[in-house]
Amino acid sequence: MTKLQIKDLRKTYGAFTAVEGLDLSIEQGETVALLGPSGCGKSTTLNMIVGLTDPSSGDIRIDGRSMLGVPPGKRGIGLVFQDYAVFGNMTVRENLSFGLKVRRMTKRDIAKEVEKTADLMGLSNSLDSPTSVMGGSQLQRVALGRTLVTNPSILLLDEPLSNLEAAMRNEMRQELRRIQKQTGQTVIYVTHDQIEALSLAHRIAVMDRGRLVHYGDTHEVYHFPKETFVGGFLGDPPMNFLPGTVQASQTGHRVDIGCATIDVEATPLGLSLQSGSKVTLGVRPESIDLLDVGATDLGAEILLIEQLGADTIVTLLLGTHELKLRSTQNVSHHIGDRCSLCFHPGMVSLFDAETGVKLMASPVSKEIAA
Amino acid sequence: MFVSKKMTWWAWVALALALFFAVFPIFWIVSTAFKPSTEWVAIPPVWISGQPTLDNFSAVFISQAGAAETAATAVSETGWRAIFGSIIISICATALSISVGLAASLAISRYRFGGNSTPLMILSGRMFPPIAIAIPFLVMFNSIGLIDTYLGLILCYAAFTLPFSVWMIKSFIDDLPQEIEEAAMLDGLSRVQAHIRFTIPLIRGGLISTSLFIFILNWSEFLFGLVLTAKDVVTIPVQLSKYFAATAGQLYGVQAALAVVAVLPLVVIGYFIQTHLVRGLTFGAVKR
Repeated sequence: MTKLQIKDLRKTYGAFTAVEGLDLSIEQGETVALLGPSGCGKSTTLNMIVGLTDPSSGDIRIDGRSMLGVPPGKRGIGLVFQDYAVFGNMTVRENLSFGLKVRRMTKRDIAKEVEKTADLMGLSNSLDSPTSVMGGSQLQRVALGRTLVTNPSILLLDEPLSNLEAAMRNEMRQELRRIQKQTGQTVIYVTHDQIEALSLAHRIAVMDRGRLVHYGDTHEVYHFPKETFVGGFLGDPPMNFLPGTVQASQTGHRVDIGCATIDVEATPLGLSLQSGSKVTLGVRPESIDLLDVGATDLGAEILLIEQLGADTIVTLLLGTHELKLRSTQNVSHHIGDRCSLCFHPGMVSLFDAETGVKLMASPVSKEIAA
Repeated sequence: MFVSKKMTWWAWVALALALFFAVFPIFWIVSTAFKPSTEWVAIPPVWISGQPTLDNFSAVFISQAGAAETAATAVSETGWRAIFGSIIISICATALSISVGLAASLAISRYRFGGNSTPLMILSGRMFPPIAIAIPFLVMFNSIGLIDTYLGLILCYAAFTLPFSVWMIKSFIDDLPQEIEEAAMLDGLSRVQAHIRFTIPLIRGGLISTSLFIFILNWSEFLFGLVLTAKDVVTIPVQLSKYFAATAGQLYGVQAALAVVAVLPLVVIGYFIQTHLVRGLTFGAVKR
């Protein structure tokens, strides 16, 4: 069932367009991450969903009902703020019960709901503590609890972990996943942190300069980005990009990247590529194999080897282009060695060199295979 | 911050100088208030009177008509009217200034009313020397019959302290995360309710210290009080200047006595709200 439907949503401030023609639909019980760099319009989108900002045009529907003109408190949406926005002049219990009091619930019901939520959030022991003395992760729990206690139909989280230390962040991330599972909440998670997005969300919506660039499940968004921006934004190290020229061949197409040509016939072409058209070839660091010299036509030189515990990142020079490769195996090569590369078949994406938009990529083949 | 326990000699000298400049005038006023008229301007100066007297205070509080003619009894009027006038005008003008200032700061800080230029425009009135503003005020007030009225001075004082209220309160609101109000709105409050339930209580310390600051400004204002009044309305600072007798010249002792009386409420209020004052002035009222 579609929980939230956003249609052609637009927000402009004078000549500046913050959000441009956004279409997004979110299913009941789904966690969707709104991901993008600062200033990409994700917070504006969030504020429009919540009702703190009025859209310039477009529609927002929750359970099929248009939310335009509905005040924030009446939308059934809960929002957890980046800075928590816990009511500093109140205790934990007062914070948790405030929303219910405003909704005119009876004292008994309020007490019951507050206890239940405090239990879920691990706040039972500190219900009567003033929030003014609490630290980051505790405040985070209060903020989340205060929102959950009102039983919102959609829960929005605005960079909820960005103010926590790394260790706390991991813990809260697991906590959020547990709570989402336990409550079956529909969650929209706004973040600029790809790890959070990839680990928490079912689907990711990547935004850039006010546009929704790619909306899909985490696997698709990561491995088969619709634009070079998505490939470059997601992943650490990000996707490798190689400029090249299409050469038609009998079996399919090849891309000439200057020092070598790469077969892309493994990915059937949805579009017919003009021979000679300029493209950008994208390949993830983990979709490249490092082989001994002469094993393939793709000869490269090793510039740097970084051991990162389980993984090894190898920086290579392929012709004039630098590439990064991630290997989970032990790398027996040394810096300065020559080697050969092999791109995993079906894991190479082609983008228009000018616009950066995907020309064709493996989901096509995946669908055909399926 | 690391502070050395041992002060160097020059620090002592600097501190002593600063203290002298701050404390000596106060000492001198208090001392003069208890001096008989012969010691007011005696040379060499009398530091602390050998025959302390309450004559100056009785001249301020009790009508001297018919009393034996001394310098202190030369005053034509007690200080009551001035004290009453100062209390009424200062309290009302402070309340008005703070109310309007609060509304204006909310508009500027939360609704970005008028962009970035409004706060500066509000401040522009303070950029002129007060006397330059006093003349147009006099002309305006004269034509609408506000000269020599309580209402006139209240409006004038409120207008003149408004820039301070706006700038001070605005800084407290700016420090308060807007998300608190948004969270309250998500819980079902309207924008105005959110301000009343959260914004205002959370900047209470700031409001109190701003009020005190504005009150002190109003309480000690002299120029407008002098220019915009005639015979019906008088404030303490204006009354001080009126303690002058043709026979005795400036009535320093009586002036000092009224000044001591005038400073008392400020000291008392200041003492009772000092916790708020410190919290307000350190801008640490809200934990983010």
